[in-house]
Amino acid sequence: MPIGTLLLGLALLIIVAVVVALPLLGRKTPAIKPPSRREALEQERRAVISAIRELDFDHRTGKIAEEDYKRLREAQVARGAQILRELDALNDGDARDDARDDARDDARDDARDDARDDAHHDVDAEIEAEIARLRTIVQTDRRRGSAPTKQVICPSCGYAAGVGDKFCPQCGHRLGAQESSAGAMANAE
Amino acid sequence: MFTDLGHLSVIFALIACLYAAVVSPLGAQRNDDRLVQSGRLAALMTFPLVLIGCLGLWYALLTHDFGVKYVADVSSLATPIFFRITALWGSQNGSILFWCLIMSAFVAAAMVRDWDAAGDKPLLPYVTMTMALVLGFFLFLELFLANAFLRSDFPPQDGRGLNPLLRHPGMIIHPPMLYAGYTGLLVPFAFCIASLITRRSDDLWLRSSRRWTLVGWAFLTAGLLLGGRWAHDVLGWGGYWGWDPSENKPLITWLIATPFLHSAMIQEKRGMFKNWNVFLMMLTFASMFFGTAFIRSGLLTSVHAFAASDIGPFFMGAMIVILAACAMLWLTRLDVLRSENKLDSAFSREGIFLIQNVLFLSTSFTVFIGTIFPILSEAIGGTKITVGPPFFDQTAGPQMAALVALMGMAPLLAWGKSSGAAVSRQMIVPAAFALVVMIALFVGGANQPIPLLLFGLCAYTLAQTVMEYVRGVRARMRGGNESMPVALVRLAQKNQRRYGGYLVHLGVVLMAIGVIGKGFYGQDTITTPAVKLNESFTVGDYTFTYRGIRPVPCEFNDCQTMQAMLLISSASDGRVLGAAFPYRDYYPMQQHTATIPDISGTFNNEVYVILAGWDNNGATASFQVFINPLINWIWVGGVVMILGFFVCFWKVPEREPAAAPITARRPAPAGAPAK
Repeated sequence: MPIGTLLLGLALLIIVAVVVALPLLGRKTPAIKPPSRREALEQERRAVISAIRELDFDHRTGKIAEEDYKRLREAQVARGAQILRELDALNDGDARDDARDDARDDARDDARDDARDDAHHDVDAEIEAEIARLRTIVQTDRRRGSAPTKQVICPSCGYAAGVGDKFCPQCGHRLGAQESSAGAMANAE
Repeated sequence: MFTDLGHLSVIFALIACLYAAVVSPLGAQRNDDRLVQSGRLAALMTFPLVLIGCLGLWYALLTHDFGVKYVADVSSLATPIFFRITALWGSQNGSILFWCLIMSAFVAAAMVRDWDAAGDKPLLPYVTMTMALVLGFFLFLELFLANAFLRSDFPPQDGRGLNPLLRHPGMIIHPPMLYAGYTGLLVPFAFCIASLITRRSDDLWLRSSRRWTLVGWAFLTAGLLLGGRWAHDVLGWGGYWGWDPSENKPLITWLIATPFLHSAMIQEKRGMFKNWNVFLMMLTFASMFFGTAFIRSGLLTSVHAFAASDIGPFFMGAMIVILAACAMLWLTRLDVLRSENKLDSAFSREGIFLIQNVLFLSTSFTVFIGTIFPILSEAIGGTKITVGPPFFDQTAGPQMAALVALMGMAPLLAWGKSSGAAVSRQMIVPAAFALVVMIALFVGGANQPIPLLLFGLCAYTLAQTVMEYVRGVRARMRGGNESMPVALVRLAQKNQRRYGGYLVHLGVVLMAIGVIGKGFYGQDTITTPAVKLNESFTVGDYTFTYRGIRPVPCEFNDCQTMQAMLLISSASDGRVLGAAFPYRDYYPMQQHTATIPDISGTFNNEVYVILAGWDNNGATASFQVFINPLINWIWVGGVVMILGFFVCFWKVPEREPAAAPITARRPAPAGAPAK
């Protein structure tokens, strides 16, 4: 092999070696953060929202029977509420330390989540509103130190209505004893 | 000099791979991000290094450096510049280097992505390791078993020229497409392995590699289509598919990757089929490498025989070791791959996906058995028996028809559970449409029961798929003040995967129409005895009159071309419709004959004429004529499938919500200052 080629090869090798070695010159930082429960919950929250959105769309296009739709939706909304309870518990710890930072982080997280989520702007907004309502109630109760507020999840639209409501404030569906006994009752706390 | 520098550069790429494969997992083990990032950069550097290697070989090809053995084997002084560029993948050694280039491009693309933003950084060290190991394996093959940079002691004055079969536009794009398909699927495989190593039970690997899987699948689809088009235009088979091992190999991979795309959705949406998805991904990986090993080893005779060499056994042995390691890894992770949910009802989308998955796999297994039957029969009975197209048509054909039927059913079902009444209601319009089509075809003279039923099935699935868009658009129009076009666009935007997938289904149905048309109504006639000058013969609705044969200048200056002329007229009224000019090229250097068909006729009725032979300076000649009804729908369907991919893949810009609504939707904890 000509000497010129060997020199060029050596130059190439040095360039590659320098590029590869650059990170080694910095300070040691952890490669893997311990898995965050919050991230896992946020991911699950997105999955629940997506599932409800699909379920609603399947319902609107007539693919699913009313009864199955209600049952499956209730289950998803209940799961969503459970996730938010866990998220709230996590956030609450932070809030005790620094409520202001928490609020800012929360908003920032939301902005990031919203940017990362696919464009949920119609059905998603509705679901988010339900979840936000659940969350507000939980947080308000917790701050006031009051007993947790009980709620009934509307089997028609999934809205978290008050336990005494006879009709769903969102869609007007009649809320009877049946919903409560069928497990639609979602204790927000 | 540049060629030798290219050789050195490929050696450095192999070193970089080995470094990345060792340092990245070490970084994870020691929890030191510096090592992980260093490994990542080493993997990233493989792309420019392999590119320099390819540029070196291209330089040798363009400057006629016949001192490089590979250049002398695949090009000559007469080879046009365009084919000297494509000659890089014109034979075994160069094609492995080119394969490495495409694979390193995927590795680099995976390395430069923003892992922090994607939220899957824990997988990075092991994704790097897996990809570096696989790329390193191919670079090792290139450098030690199939080196394209080797020099000969006595350079010839002229090279042998490019294989005549490869001088076709389809052949220029077809191999890169297939390579990109195979190597693109390496990315989800690497994510799968990383997920197993880190004992993750979630669907992170699926979400992170979803778009990569789509890209690999789309390239594989395009590669298969272009390969079919090349066979149709160059090989003189009269059709688009000959069940050749080299065609079957990517088809088998496609038949495994496609159900994976579907079952991945079940894991993402329902937390089920975790083991199944890992199994499918490993099978996809295994299928592409075993297929390559069979064909490259020369164990199976194929139209890719030019690429056969002695790397097969080594290839096969190494792959068995790699796959055994993967299987062991999987078996030790069975405990973390338990399903989160149970199948609520078999009458659901996940239920039908399961049936579809099984059917896809049984079809791929059928094609696999048919492909390796010569090896099996020789090993068992001592005689090599090759199974032909009838075997594949009769075994894989019905399964593919069942898959088309499932395509017409699956969209009707919802996740979780569906009701029989709702499904039946949605079947009425498409079933009525199918019935009308079948009656119209029957009245039009198509009275064979099987193709009539198959066309009915296609009509049903086509209508059902279109109805899915109609239902979706209607639902959106009912829900908000959207006009029809806006509703259609937003429908696809809101669920790109679903509606892009439906477009792919439409493409498959169009292809099926072409396959049925060619398979059941196609005609194939060989003129025996040979036709005399000015004599006519009739095939279907066409009369062909032989007008003579003549030598014509060869397109590439290194062959002798004889071209025949046939007048085509209508068999019913004698009206002249046109002329056909089929020809044969003889390449003395390669002692190879290429039969190039003349393709004419209408869109729905292709006329495909081959010059089979001639005597006495053209006093008599024999021809093979194919009438291929509806065959062009195969290519149309292929284009629609690729369009469907773009709908799935295209990233719709996210609308960033304003700050106020975000905080309003997710209230800050009490005590936080008002904004």
